[in-house]
Amino acid sequence: MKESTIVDLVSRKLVPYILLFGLYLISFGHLSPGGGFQGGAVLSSGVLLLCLSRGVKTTRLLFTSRAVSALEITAFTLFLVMAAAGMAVGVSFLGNFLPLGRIGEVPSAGFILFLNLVIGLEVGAGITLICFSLLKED
Amino acid sequence: MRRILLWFFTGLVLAALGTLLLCSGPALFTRSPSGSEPAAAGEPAPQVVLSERMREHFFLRAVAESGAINLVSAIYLGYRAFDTLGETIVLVLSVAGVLLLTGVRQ
Repeated sequence: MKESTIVDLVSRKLVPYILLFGLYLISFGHLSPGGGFQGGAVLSSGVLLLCLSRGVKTTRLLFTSRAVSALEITAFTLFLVMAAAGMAVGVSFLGNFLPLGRIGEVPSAGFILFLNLVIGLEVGAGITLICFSLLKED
Repeated sequence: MRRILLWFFTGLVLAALGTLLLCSGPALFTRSPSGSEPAAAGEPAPQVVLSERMREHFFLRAVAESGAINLVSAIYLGYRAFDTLGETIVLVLSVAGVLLLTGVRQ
């Protein structure tokens, strides 16, 4: 594959900001437009840009598929544990049992912020895994 | 072949679990309202459209109840979080299916 300096440079400068924007969308999901699914898609699009510009093999050295799949399964298990913890506390299944806090701040909505984080990581890891397995270099 | 069977079986078990939760959910996981009086026999029930009442409820009280300013987030993670749980199961199963069918072993 022929390397292009412009694509290489721009993508390497751009990817950290894309990942940061994805984390912003996830963590401010209960205050502004955005949320777990959208933020996770942005996270995985950052990894995908790295794949397309630097090659899948190089990207897989940084984001190993073992770590990404472990992140996916951990996030899903955390979702289930958090859902069942509501029953243990005595609210209901998937009930919001954390204190709500002051409305308008980042750690405010209790349960919703945590669920956004978990879903964002899970969606990002899932789409990244799908792209890893569908993209092949020759 | 064994992997395909295993994946199919896992999907079946998760789907059965979801169906079971969904069917027994109102009985098991929610508190029944205490002291719900039966409807009076004589007078006809008032005709109020349910979606209007829900819209009014969300508009007036969702921010105070869930703590989230973004009402979309308050609905899909607060009031309808069960729906989101199903979506997450679908995503995990689809990733497992893609990894199975493309045959990535690492």
